[in-house]
Order: sequence, then structure tokens, then C-alpha cells
Amino acid sequence: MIRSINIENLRGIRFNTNIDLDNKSLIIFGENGKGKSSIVDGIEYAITGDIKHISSTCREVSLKKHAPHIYADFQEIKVEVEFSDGSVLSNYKEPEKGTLAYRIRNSKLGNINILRRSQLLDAISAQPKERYDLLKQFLPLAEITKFENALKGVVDKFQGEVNNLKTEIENHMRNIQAALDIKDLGSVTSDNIFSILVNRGKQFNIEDIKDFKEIPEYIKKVDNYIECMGNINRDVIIRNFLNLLNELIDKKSPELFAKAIYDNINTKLDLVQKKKVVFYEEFLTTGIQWLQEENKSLCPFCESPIDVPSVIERVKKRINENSEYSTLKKEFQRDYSILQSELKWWEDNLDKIRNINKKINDENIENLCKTIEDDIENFKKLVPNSIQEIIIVKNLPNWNESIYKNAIHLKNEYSNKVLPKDAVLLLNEAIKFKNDLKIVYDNIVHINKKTKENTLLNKKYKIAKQFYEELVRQRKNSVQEIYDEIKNDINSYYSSMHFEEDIGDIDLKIKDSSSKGSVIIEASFYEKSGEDPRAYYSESHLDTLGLAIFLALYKRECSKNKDLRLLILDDVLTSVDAAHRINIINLIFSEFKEHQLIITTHDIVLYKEILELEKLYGGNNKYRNIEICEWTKDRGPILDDTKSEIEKLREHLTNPHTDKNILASATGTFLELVLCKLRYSLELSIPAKYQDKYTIVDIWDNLYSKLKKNKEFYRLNSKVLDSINVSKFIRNISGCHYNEWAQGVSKDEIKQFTNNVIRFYEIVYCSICNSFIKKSNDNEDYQCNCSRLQYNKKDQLLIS
Amino acid sequence: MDDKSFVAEILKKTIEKLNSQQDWSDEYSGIFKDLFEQGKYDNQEEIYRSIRQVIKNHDKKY
Repeated sequence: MIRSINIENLRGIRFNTNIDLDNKSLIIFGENGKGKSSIVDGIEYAITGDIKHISSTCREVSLKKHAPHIYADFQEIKVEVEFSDGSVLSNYKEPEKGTLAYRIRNSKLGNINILRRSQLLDAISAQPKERYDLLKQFLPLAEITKFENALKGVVDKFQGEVNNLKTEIENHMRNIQAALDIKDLGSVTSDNIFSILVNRGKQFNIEDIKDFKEIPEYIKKVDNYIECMGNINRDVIIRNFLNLLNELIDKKSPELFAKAIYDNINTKLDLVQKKKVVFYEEFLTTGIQWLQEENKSLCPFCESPIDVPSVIERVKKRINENSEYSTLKKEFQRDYSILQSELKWWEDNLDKIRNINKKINDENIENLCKTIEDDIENFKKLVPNSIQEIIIVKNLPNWNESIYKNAIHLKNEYSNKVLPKDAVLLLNEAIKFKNDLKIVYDNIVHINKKTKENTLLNKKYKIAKQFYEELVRQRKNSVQEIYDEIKNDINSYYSSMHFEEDIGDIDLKIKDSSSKGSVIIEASFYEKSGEDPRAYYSESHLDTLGLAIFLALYKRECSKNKDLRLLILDDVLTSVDAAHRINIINLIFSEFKEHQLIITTHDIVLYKEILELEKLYGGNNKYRNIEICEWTKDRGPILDDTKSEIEKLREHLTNPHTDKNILASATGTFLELVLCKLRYSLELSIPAKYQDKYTIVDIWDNLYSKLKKNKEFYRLNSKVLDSINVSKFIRNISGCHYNEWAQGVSKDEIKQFTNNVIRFYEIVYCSICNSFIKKSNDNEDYQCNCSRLQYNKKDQLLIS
Repeated sequence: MDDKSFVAEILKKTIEKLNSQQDWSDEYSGIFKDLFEQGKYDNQEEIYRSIRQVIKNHDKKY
């Protein structure tokens, strides 16, 4: 039990806020944002060293940054909770061993005993997986989760390694598959590989291979075979050389192309010599185009006026006269290009032959090359490259006939040196076989090595996986056992909250499919059973369902931990209507009567209801009520002990210093409260008003006439009733406004009004069962819940 | 029941179940038991290392 609480510089609390509980339960009322939850945060922080709704919100929100008051640092936070044995849990000092504080701190309660409004709907509305996480907060799962996460990490790591190794082995198999041309990867087996190797070896007359270990020896045997068969590389070179020689032999002599040029020019030598200086056909043709296109009228050289058509005509005539020369020139250019191209071919082939000869190193080949080289040079020198500068040499350059002769000779010589075609094929096959053997051997060595590694790795993976899966299974079973254990309590609590409704049969089930855990909630709704409550239940029914689950979990934990007798409910009944919340408060007060309760609410009506119910469960001896009157940023919440309105009114009445206007106002407010309650309990017909803002006048007249009709009530209480009826104006003139008439009302008159209102309250409200009188039948008989107060329309008042 | 006792209880059940299986060796359970006793059960590296070690030892033995 908590004796006192001290909080400073935490959340909305700035200066030291001290609450002496003296082991009593605590009911806190405060409007939104007045610091109620800060008090709960302080208690949670002192007990657990954490404020879970802050620390687990998101990465951006942290305890260190957001737990302190906005004007304070983390180090300035001071929270203390003193327990019944005088021991203290705080954020700055460890408790002494053996004390209640020590036991609570070391029992690692988590926040199993603290329920906040936000957690309720979240847990019910969430998807099964998220719901498991939410309910997890109320179960001792923090450590097992760490264990599972670490194990899962190990399983994943091993699995990753196994997969990598598998891929590597698969790649080695693919290499063998490609080398041996095996159709699919599945057929890359030892038997298949052996069979292929043995078959391929047979064509080289090599004895059968029996073991993979023999492959290196086998490769040597294939090497010997290749060596005996001849040099395949040299054979390839010779074959290339023969191809070149064949092309060369077939090639026409450049002399033929040179002769065409010479013949052509020599036949028209006079024409060439005559025209070579003065006729430039290209120049004349361009000149005509220029004159025509640009529409010129001046000579482009001297800029004198010219007769353009006449000039064009003369130039055309000249071109025409020289057309023979022009044709000759074009033919020369064509033939010269052909010759150049032929010489280029010889040059290229010359290089190729020389390259081959670097490997063959044959003097005759070099001699052939030299002759070709000299002839190419000779042709370049002797053949004119322009018709304009032609100097006809009568002797045509000769292309050495020995080139062809020598080429044919070399061809014959080297044709005898090439290997037979079958032998080449066989040699190529042997070379490929040797390479394939190497590939097979290298990859098999790797496969064997990695397969061995894989066997070990698989064992490790299997151990981690098997253990992880069994751990998860056992954890789920244990959680399911907890849920089964609390099932009766959940249903009992839920039916207490909704005792006249055909709903319930709540069952929490762990789903098997999820590795982490998922919780399905099933419930009944009239004739529907085994349904997801979210499908049928209202928001408040879901809230109360969450509350019932929480209370059952809390009760279970209490049965295992005798030191846990503290239940904190932070604003959890907001969505619940008046009738249900009375049931819930009754349930909590009765079920956890041996526990210290800390309940906060922002609902004044609920607060008043709780105050009334407290009387049934020990009243002031067991409960402490605190109202947060005000909250300021600089100070935090300003607390005030709250007494019930009737106690306040009695205090005003007996206090000689109470101002008469304040007394009138308090009396009027209290009468309004009583009338509002009677309006419902006696089922008065009152015209509806916006937000139920009724005044005394709105209800009184109707109530007065109704109570007068109940003869017993009126006979016994007419004096009180009539007095209020005539003095109710005091509420308006003295309790609300300043005016001279109000000043004329004496304090004694007001006191009399107050006394009558208190008396009226006593005759309509039973302090034993804490209920107002209500209609007990259609005959307008009135009675309280326990029937101590009975006003029958015709009979006498009975006080049992 | 606190979180650590809960782990101990689940670990016990897990080991009991696995030890009853033919393909599981008591040596393997020993890894996790030891890690729990040393407070290293939530350490991924330690679990990884211990499993590797137990297989290595096992491999040497047989």
C-alpha cells in the first residue's frame, strides 16, 4: 500500500506535488490537461523506472527528453512513492533490502497494474498480431521476447549461410553441367558425370576412369595423347597461311590495272598534252552554276558588266569542245582508284603473311614478302597519280611473276604439312576433353568441400531452428494457459458490467500460424457466438471488454505476487454510460476491496457517482478524493481535497464566516444537482433543453406537483416542500446577482433555505444504498434501492 | 510471475520437449541452459558462437 506520493519536475508537474494517501485509495478528478496522468506517470516512474507510454511511443519521443517538465532537465525529476512499511521507491535511490519497496522493485511488475484509456480500445480494435503486442504489455513477456529475437537472428544468420553455400554448390554444378553438356541441373550426378567421362575417354583409347580422384592422372593421359597426335596450334597456323596463299594465287596482277591506265592515256596522248594547262572543266561548270543561281550581271574577277547569257553560252561551248578530254580524265581517275585498291589488298596480305611467318619462321616466305613489298613500292612510284602531271613512261612497270610461282611452291610445300582432317577433329576433341576434365575436377573438389561445410552448417541451423520453434510453441502455450486461466474472470467481470445483456462468452485464443503471436478474441452477441466482438459491440462495450481482460490479468498477477495490491485506472471509463459505469465501479470496489485503487477521471458526473459509491465501501476511511482545481504551466496541478457536495454545503452552513450570497449560491447549485437526479429517477416530463442545462425553475414546478400527488410524501414532507417552493427565489436573487432586493434577504432566511434543501435531500436520497428515490410501479409509488425509503401513494411512509 | 521466471519456465518446457525427441542431443539443450544461467540468452552473438562450438566439438568427437 502506498502511504504517500511526491512528484517534482515530471511531465505536467513542476513544483513538488505531495499526496498523502495513508494507505487509502485515491480518486482524482481533473479536467483534460490538468495533470491527472502526470500523477499516474510519476507513480509508474517511481515503481518501474519507466513510463511506457512515452518510452515505447516512437523513436522521436524519449523518456530522457520528454519525461521532464518543460522547464526542467531530466536530472531534476524527483519522484518518490512511500509504502506502508515506510520504505520508499524513487528515481534517485535504491530501496533497502527486505522492504516492501525492494520487493516491488525487484518483482519487475512491468505496468501490469496500470491501465490507461488509450490502451483499452487499441487492444480490442487492433489486428490479432498487433493485439498480441498490446496485451503483451500486461504479460511477463519482455525477456522471452528478447530471447526469441536473439534466437531468430541466429536462425536467420545460419539460414543465410546455408543458402549462400547452397548457391555456391549449385554454381559449381552448373559449371559441370555446361562443360559436360548435361541437359538439366538435376542430372548432374556422380553416375552421370562418370558415364559421360568414360564415354568421351573411349575415343582416345584411354582406360576407364573409376574415381574422381583419378582425374588429375587421367588429364595427363589425355595430354600424352594430344602430344602424340601432333601440334594442333601449328596446324591451325599453317591452315591460315594456306588460306592466304590461295587468295594471293587467285588475285589478278596489279600490272593488268596499270596497263589499262597506260593504254588509255597513250592512245590520247596529244589530247592530254594539249589540254593539260588550259582546261579546267570543274571550274567552268561551277562558274556557270554561279552565274545562273546568283543572277549575276558583273564579272566575278574585274566586276565589269557582262552579258551573262552570252558568257554562259560561250563557256558551255568550250566545255562541249573539250568533252573528250573530260571523259579521259574521269576514266583515269576510276582506273587509278582500282589500282590503288588492289595495291592496298597486297599490302594488307603482306602484313598477314609476315605475322604468320613470325610463328613459322620460313626464309622462303620472307623472300616472297620482300618481292611483293618491292613491287608495291615500284608501282607506287611509276604509276602517275594525276592526269595533269602525266609523263608517260613508255615502259609499263612489271608485277613480278615469281610472286605467283613462289606462292604456288609454298602452297604445295605447306599443304603436305597439315594434319589430316580427322586427326584435327580428334585433337580438338581431346583438347576440349582435357579442359572439361579440369573443370569437372576443380568443381568437384569445391563441391565436396562445400558439401562437408554444408552438412555441419545444416546441423547448426537445425539446432537453432528446432530450438527456436519449440521455444515459440511453448511460449504460445504458456500464454494460452494464462488466457485460459483468466477466461472465467474475464467473463465474470464482463457479465457484472453488463448483467442484463445477452453478451459475453469471451475467449482469447493464440493463433498458431503467426511466429510471434496473434490473439483472436471471440465473444457472443445474442444468438451469435464465437464472433469477433469488433463486428457487433459498441465502442463502450469494447472498452469494457478491454477493461475486463485487464482486470482479469491483474487479478491473476496478484494471486502470484502478494505484494501487488495497487490498481491504477487512468481515465478508462470515458466512453461508458452512467448505468454501466456504476456497475463497473461497484465491481472494482467490491472485487478489489483489499487493493489500493488509484482512479482518475475527467468526468465530473462520474466523479460524483464514485464519491457516492465510496460510502458503500468504507467511505473516508478507505478513500481519499482529490480534485485538481487548476493547472498552470509554471506550477503544475493545484490539488484540493474534495468532499461531496452535501458535505460542502453543510460546511458552508455551519461556518459562521460564510458569506450569505455564497451560501445561497451553493444551496442553489446543490438543489439543481438533486433536481437533475430526480428528473430521471422519478421520470419527470420536462421539455428538453440544449446540453441538459436545466435551472431550478425548469424542474421544480413539475416535481413539486408530482410529489404533492403522492399523499404520503406530501403529508410527511409538506413543510419542507412548501418552504422550498416559496423560498427558491433566494437562489436567483442572492445566489446569482447583486441587487438591492437581494441585500434585503437576511442570512437567517438563506440558512433556513439551506436547511430545507438539506432536509429535502435527506428525504429523497438514501445514504445507506446511495440512491435517489425512484418510481417503483405505475402507481407513482416511490422508493430507494434498498427500500429503506418508501413513499406509497396511499400508504404510510415506511422506514425499515 | 516476473519476466525472467517466465523465460525459465518456458525454457524448461522447451528443453523437456526437445530432449524427448530422437534427433536432439542433451548437449544441444546444454547450450541454451548455460546461456540462460549466464544471463546471455538474449545475446545473438553468444548463441551463434555456442552453437558453432557445440557442433565443432561434436564433429571432433565423432
